[in-house]
Amino acid sequence: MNKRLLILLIGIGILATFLTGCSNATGTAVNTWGGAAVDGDMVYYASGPQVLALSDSGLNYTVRWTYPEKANAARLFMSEPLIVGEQLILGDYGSNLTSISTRDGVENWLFADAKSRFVDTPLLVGELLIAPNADKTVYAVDLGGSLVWKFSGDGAFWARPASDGKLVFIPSLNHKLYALDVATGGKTWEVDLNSPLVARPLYAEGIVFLGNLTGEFFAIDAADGSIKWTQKVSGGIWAQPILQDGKLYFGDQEGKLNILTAANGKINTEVDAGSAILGSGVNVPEGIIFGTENGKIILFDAEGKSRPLLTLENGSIYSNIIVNGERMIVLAYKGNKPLIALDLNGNEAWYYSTKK
Amino acid sequence: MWDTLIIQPFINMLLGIYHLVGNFGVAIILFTILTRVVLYPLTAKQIKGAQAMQELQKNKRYIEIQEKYKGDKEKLAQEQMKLYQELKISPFSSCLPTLIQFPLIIGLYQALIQSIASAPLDLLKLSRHIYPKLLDFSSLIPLNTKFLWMDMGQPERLYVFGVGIPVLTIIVVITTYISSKIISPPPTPGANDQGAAMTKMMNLYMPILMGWLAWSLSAGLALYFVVSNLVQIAQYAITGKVYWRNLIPGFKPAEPAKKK
Repeated sequence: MNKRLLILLIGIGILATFLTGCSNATGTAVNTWGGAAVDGDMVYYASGPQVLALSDSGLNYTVRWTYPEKANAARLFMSEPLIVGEQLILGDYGSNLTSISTRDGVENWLFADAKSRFVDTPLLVGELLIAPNADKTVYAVDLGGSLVWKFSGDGAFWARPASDGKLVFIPSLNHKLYALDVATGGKTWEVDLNSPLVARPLYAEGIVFLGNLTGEFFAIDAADGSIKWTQKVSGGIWAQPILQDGKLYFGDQEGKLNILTAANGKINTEVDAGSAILGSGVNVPEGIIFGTENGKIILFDAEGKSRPLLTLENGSIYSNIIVNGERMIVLAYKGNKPLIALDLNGNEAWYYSTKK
Repeated sequence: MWDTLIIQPFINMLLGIYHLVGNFGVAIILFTILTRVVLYPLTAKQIKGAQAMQELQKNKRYIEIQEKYKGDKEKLAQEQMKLYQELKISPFSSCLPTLIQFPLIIGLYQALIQSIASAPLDLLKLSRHIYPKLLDFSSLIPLNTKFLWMDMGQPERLYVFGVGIPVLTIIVVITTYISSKIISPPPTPGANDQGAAMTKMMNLYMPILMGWLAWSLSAGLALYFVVSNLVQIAQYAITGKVYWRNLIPGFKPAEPAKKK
């Protein structure tokens, strides 16, 4: 009888520990990757209950400050911080939008009207922060933290919108792309794009470019929401495309780098990268650098010829790669080096890890 | 392996039901009933094992052994083991089915979290776990996770005048208490008190533990606990070995309601 009870209690204990261990303080599991932003020699790193300001001294780093000083599991910062002058704008999974000082990490203001997660970074349009939230609402907040307008849709908003200065183009998980008036938040048009939209759109010369999770890529007229052309690629699209010399470059969930002609959507090249490409690429003088799920950092030239720069040990690259001058910052999901500072040839300068 | 054998089938079953009914709360209810029905042979074995252990408490030899080797735990265990073998009783037969359900609960929890896909990596995994020949990812996502006043992906609270009342947690505690109480036999005169004390302890701890899980985890899992408890009570009632009178405070132990 004793043993029986003991086994049962141990079992319940393991179950309770396992289930609650997968959760944050709000009781829901958070399973995602982090983000970073770079300004001069400062790297702002968000991937957990604290945001870190790391000063890059070339071959090493110094932690300047952390926000909040004491980690709070209810406030997970997983999206790229947005740098606006001396403000660092942070959305968190505890439904807060916060502005802190880039100098010392001291809080300027906290916007707490939202009811769910800020999955991606807000967009700055003029003096207005356009912040998508998973509570199916888009919040427009001024740089003092006051609400200017809000727009309610019928699906969660994850991805950072794009804007032409007058309209803001906001994708929704409920398959729709909305165009809202920047000044008022009024809806100008909406278009159903068949599948969940988690990728950031790109606005260029009157066209909004955007892919969905079933691999359809669209060029949409920014004026009225009409679809100019559609192209089907191998896998789901998670990131904003890069437009360079009339060509669009973006990866997909099936591990293909797609190069399309921006004018008509014709596929120029489809290159196999070996595993899923979820983050955006980044322009460098020699081409475009992408990270892959199996931890490879690959440089592609304009024709799609690839040159592997580095392979991370046990890490997946889902976040957008950041380049600032000669410095490249790569975030890895899992693995021993969650944040790595490299040169543009993939040579490691330093890495940050809490396990160090 | 775990993903392929447990998570993936769970997700597809759950979303398959959701596809038919269009509401995630209803899908969880139907999925729970279905899993309970599938697990019924284990539950029946558990009931049978528990009943055998209860009968043993009344066994004359068992009582004698308890008395005789009161001070010698090692010898007591040996003699008990001998008696179990003679009577062909497995002391773990009532406990094992409960333990087997733990991985299923963990699997269900992971399937729920992934199905709700409230963070990018969950959505990525979900897109890979859906059987494309069976279900259409585009038409399923995003799920309608609203059920009554609850969001299946968030811990449940019913806000009354600004105060969040964890209604589902309260129901989980009550149904767990009822389901464990009504299957506890009345203490047999002469039987060892240790067993009764442990049963009493379990009757107290289990509802608290389950309530804590329901309070801190997503409403979808709490709903699973409630439905699972209700189905379990029904299954016990069908076997006829339930002690409804145990629920009346201060009521003297009574014989179980026999199945006709």
